[in-house]
Amino acid sequence: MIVRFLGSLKPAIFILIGLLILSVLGTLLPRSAPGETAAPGSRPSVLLAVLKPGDIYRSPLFLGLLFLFSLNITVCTLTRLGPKIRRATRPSLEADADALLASPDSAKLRFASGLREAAAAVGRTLRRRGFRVRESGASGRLVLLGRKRTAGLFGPDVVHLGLLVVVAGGIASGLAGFRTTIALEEGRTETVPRAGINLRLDKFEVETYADGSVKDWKSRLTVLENGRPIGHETVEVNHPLSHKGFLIYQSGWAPVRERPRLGLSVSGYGGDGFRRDITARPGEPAPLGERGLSLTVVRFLPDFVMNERREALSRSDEPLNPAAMVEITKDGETVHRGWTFGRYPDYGGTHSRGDADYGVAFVSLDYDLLSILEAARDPGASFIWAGCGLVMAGLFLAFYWPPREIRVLIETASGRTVLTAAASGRKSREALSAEFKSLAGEWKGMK
Amino acid sequence: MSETLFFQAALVFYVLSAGAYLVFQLNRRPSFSSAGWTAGLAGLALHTAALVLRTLASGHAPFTNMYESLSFLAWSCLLAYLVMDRLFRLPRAGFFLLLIVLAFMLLANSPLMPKDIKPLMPALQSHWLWLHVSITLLGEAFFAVAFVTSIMYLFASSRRSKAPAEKAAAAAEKLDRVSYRSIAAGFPLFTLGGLVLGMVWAHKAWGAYWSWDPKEVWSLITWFVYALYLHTRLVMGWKGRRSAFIAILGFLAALFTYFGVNYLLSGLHSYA
Repeated sequence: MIVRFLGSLKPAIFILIGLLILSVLGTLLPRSAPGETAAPGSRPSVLLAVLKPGDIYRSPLFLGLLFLFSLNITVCTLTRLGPKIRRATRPSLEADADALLASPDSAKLRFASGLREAAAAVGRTLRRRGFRVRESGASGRLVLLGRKRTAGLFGPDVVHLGLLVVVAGGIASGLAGFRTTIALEEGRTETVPRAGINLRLDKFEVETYADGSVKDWKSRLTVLENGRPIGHETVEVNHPLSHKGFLIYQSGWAPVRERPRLGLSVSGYGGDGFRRDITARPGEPAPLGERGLSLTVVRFLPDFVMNERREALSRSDEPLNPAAMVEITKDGETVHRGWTFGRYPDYGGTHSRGDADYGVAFVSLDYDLLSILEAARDPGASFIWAGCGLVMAGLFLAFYWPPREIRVLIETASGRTVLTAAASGRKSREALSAEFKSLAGEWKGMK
Repeated sequence: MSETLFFQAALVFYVLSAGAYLVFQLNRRPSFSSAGWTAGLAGLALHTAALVLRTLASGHAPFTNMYESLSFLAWSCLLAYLVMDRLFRLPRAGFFLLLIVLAFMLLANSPLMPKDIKPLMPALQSHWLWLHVSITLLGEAFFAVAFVTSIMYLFASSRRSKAPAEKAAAAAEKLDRVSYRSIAAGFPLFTLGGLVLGMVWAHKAWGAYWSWDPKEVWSLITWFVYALYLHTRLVMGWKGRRSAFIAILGFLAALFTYFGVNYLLSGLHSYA
């Protein structure tokens, strides 16, 4: 009784409507970030605990409905499957002339030929149109059953089975799926947890279009196993790397704020036209050619401000007003020291100590880039693809493979052979009617 | 801008087609419905040329922003109508369907939708873009046909018009059947394009086949509504008004998935 109720359509409809409402709510309510929990000490209400408004799709209510949905599909499919299989494999070969004639697609014809010849001829016409023909009967009464595309009967069951496999895949993903983010700087090696491999980022490239928008990000990686390289791979958006059940995706990139690269242009005011363009990193002396000159960025502030005590500070990590304190030494002796500003490249050099023989313009600012990769192992994914395949196959069977059945009763009545036939099929009635009419036309011609 | 020229020409033919179908609506002369059909087909041919030119000029699939995808959706709706009309003879649906097509075309043509070709962002550089979007929108186009025939059914069944009752009932019954047939065509397409291929692509691009992104959820909601339509109809034997209401609701959900999610909710599908 309970089983019958669980497998029937009414609860299915309520479950579907429930899932619908929760899904709509889920897209309207703001989602909490993963790992976000209620403030300590606060006591969530029962409703909030069951509904979890920030994460409806993982709430007990939603998962419970999903469970009922699966249960409903399972019970519904199993209870209907037995009789359906019986109908498909051992169809009834009974026929009643009046019942046949009640069908909208039916015909009654008389033949001059004998019972057997008529049956053989009708069987041939059916087979020619792809029907599988079964025959039964005794002397004086024969029933022919022609059927095709019987597999179409099982379309809904295949769809339901596919959905169950998809749900199973979702559960497998939720329980056994693993996902982690790996941020790599060029030249660095990181371990991919649980995958037993290390990744070394050999080169990270950001390609841009002419208008400056990003065309592609590429990570050129070396895959290492036990410290030994086993392959070189390029990972880019839409082209993940697959390794022993792990997929490694290009998920994004980020500048390393601790690793700025300053493009500086040093000019000599001595009248000899001295000029050097260099790239410098804070704290690393950069030689300025043959004169024994060397430049060091002593301090770098991405967002320069001066406080009330006239101390230079950075307001934030964002490069909004980048400034660098630059020192130039000649043979170890400071010849220039001063601030230079990225937004005011011509300003460099005034805050100078020494002879102010040099001006330093802050031309460009770059950061080393961090490639952000995601490594995921999802044992549910293969279930999902299998389930999707089943769903599509089932939909095809259900909508485009309509089963057809033609039942023919051939009797001998008062010395003549009488044929009564009817077509049945729930789907694409028009096409079925057309085929039946054409078959009946052929039978008429046989007289 | 020859693409724009073809697009505008297609728009003109769609207006002509809608006009002819409107006259047919009033005087029921078959010559007007066939004029509407021919103008629609001519518009579709010009529109196809516009889409091909756009693809050649941009080097990517013609549905990477709202202008392109609206244009493609309008194209799909007309195609779906012409197919269903050839199969089931639906000249009376012509005018209403053309109204939907024109709405999408005019919206695409409006200054609200930037039309310039933008280079393709990395996430969209995939062959899955072609399959995922085109099949989904084609499925939605068949839902649009079912939407029109369902609304027509509601009118036909409520207003017992001058026509003899039997004839009117037969016409209404046909509309009901065509709604089902359109959904039977659209549902597998939408399942394949919107859900299955979407999951395949998401798996490749984002590393997760399902992220409960609003667009994903709304596709699922749309799918649930049509599943409800099919189950109530095929198992419980619902027909007529109740089925028509579900079909209308389904298309509204599909429209919200298409428009509403972009403008009202934020998520991973922020580009289209």
